[in-house]
Amino acid sequence: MQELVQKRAQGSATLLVGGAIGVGMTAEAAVRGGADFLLALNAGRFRVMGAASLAALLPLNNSNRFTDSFARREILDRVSVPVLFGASCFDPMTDPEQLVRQARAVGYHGVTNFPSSIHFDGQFRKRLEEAGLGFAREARMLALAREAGLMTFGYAKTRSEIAHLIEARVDMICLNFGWNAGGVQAVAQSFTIAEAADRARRIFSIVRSGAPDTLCFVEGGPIINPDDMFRVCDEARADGYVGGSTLDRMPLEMSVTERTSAFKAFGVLKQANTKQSRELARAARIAGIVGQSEFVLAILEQVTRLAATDIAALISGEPGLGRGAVARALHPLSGRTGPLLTLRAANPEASPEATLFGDGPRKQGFLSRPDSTAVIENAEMLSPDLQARLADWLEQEAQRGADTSKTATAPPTRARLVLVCTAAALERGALVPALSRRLQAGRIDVPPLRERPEDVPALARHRLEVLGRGKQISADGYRLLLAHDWPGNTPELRSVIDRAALNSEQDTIGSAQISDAIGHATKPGMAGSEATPQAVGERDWLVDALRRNRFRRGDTAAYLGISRKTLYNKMRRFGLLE
Amino acid sequence: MSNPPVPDQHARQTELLIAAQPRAQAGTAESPERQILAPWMDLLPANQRDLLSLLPVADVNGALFAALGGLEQDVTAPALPDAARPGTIAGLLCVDPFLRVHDVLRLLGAAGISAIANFPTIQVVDGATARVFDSADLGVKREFRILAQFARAGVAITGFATTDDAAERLLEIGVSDLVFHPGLASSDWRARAVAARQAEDCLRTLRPRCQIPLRLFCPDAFGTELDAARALADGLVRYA
Repeated sequence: MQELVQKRAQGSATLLVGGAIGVGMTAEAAVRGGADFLLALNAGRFRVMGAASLAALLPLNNSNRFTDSFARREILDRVSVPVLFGASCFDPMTDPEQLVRQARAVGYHGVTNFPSSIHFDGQFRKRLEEAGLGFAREARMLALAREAGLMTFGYAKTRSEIAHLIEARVDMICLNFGWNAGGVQAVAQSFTIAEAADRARRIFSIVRSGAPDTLCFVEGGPIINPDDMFRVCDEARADGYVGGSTLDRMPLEMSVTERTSAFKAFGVLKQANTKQSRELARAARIAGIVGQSEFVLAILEQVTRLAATDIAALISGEPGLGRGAVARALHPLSGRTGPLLTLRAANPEASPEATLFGDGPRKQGFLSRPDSTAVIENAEMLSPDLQARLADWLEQEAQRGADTSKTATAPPTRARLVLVCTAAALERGALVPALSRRLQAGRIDVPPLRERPEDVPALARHRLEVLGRGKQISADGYRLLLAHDWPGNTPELRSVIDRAALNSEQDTIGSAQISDAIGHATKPGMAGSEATPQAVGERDWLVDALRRNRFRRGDTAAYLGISRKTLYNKMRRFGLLE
Repeated sequence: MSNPPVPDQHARQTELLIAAQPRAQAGTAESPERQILAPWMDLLPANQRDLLSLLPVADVNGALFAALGGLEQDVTAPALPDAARPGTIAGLLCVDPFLRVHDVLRLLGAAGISAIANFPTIQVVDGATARVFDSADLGVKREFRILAQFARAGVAITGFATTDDAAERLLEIGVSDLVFHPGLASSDWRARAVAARQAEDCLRTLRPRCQIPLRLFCPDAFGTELDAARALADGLVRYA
């Protein structure tokens, strides 16, 4: 313990970092990264097994036996820093004295109260306290451990719990802000970073006045990266931070995703040795398609196959997916020697019929140009009559092709027709049936970005390469990118990356810059408003609590463990006051 | 307006017991005596089992699976006819993140069991903790989702509910029995009285909508406070 105190005393700039872990590999990695001590917790084990940390509170095993089993085999004596045992006091058949004796006998350097009653509230917590299995028992266990010469690390959430820990004279107090945000298994949060910093500042000032030698730590809730930790620790003058999900689950999730993606990309590159794959790579380059999802590969295969034919094509999808580029890519890929011609049907000054079919002897239409490709963008805006004429033209072309094959005489190749249409327009039947039927053989649907999130990292990396500033995106930043729906598809992603890169002063673009850029890219008022899933969840939670307490505000506030004023503010925020 | 009659009048007379060990089959072949099998009861002190069955003190599902022969056993062979235990309902912790419905179905099939109960139920955990459990997909929503999966597989469900909302959800899933759970008993008689009153209110609310047996769970620590609610129920559920 003295070693930790000395480390902290060497200079206030050196924050202590503890790793709350549950597997040997993470323990060794955390120590290599500079962790000053480790907490062996059942939650850490559940995380690497694929469950949320919260599983630590469920009746899935005897927590003490479970934790001791993996900590002895994988952590104790394998690391050079103190290892503290996560001791549960819930089991009435194991008294605190026994727990401390066992921890000491096994060789742990200390103990911590985890899983803890601090994670419960409401009636359940009351029953826990009534049964004598609540926080007082945990504080007693820690006091006994201190008397036995073990290091003591006390988790607490409230002032009353902090007071218990001060009374027990624990060596280290950790103010917990709840289960961590962030990652695939993020949980709803009660605090923002600013609120957490303010709360820690107030509570640590109480600790310092009552127990000046106690080291103060923060953990959990909204603190998901070093910037968050620094902000909270700096404002609260904390001695350090304990990371659990932030040290194992979140980096592991992202790193495995990224590495797998990289290996997958390598596999694609290797395949490029084959002729077919070289064609796909060429198609991707010409069409400007980035990504490695099955969707993208399927589109490239369709484009390559279609390019080898004269079949008319229909490219559909939401705006912002590069449908026009795909359509135009068919021209070079097909090796046609004529011109690539584009008609923008949405242009009010365009004369589509004359452009396509010509205007008597004065002007040759696109469709008469030999070996050309005629791309019609916003084809849904063509008049039904013109669409019907196009369907007739396609029918005649098909007939001509059939006749040609019979005579075996090679006539000049006419234009290939490529229509670009929005998916929504197709759904509402904007193309006349005759034309739509004729185009089905050559139809390519480009799926929106939200349906293929695995392409988002590749697109983001591609954009950063285009920007050419050598910047990277942090794991948390990728998490936000993957979690976003991208209603504006690729242009929105480009805009977010551009803005985030611009706002980032460091080489790594963090979640803060990505979050800010996404907020800018979406509609005003949406980010953080009642429309978010978390807010919807909170509203449901409030309504449920109000209903359970027959809409009596005093009872509801007590039930939820919040003040009447906070309840009133939340009700007003969610429109529950009318 | 009078209450609609309960289809199974026999249910009004019988108690549904929660037991740690499978009991010798009682009742008739057509109407076997039923019990909820909860082997974890043997691992916990009797006076605190409602609380401890939701804490990391014992592996409640592990105890059940071990009592049924273990998930690792060879369950490829069809169950023997004499293995059928039509009256046994397996008490399952549905929010166990490692629970695999397919495996449990095979185990139940091999053990001749065709009914489960969401017991212990995560609904007993309340307040902000309940919301956090739900946001981590370890809460009530998961419990109902798992129950629905079992129901779709043809398993009969005895559904425990702590609120009338939860009861409605269970009815939507298609439970065959509904058990109202009054929550954890407090050592304070006033808190128990409030819980009993809420149980009574909920049973009254549910009665007209419930065409299946509507039972009341009576934890040991509750006493006469539950008398009014008992009178409204078609039967009781208690520890053996």
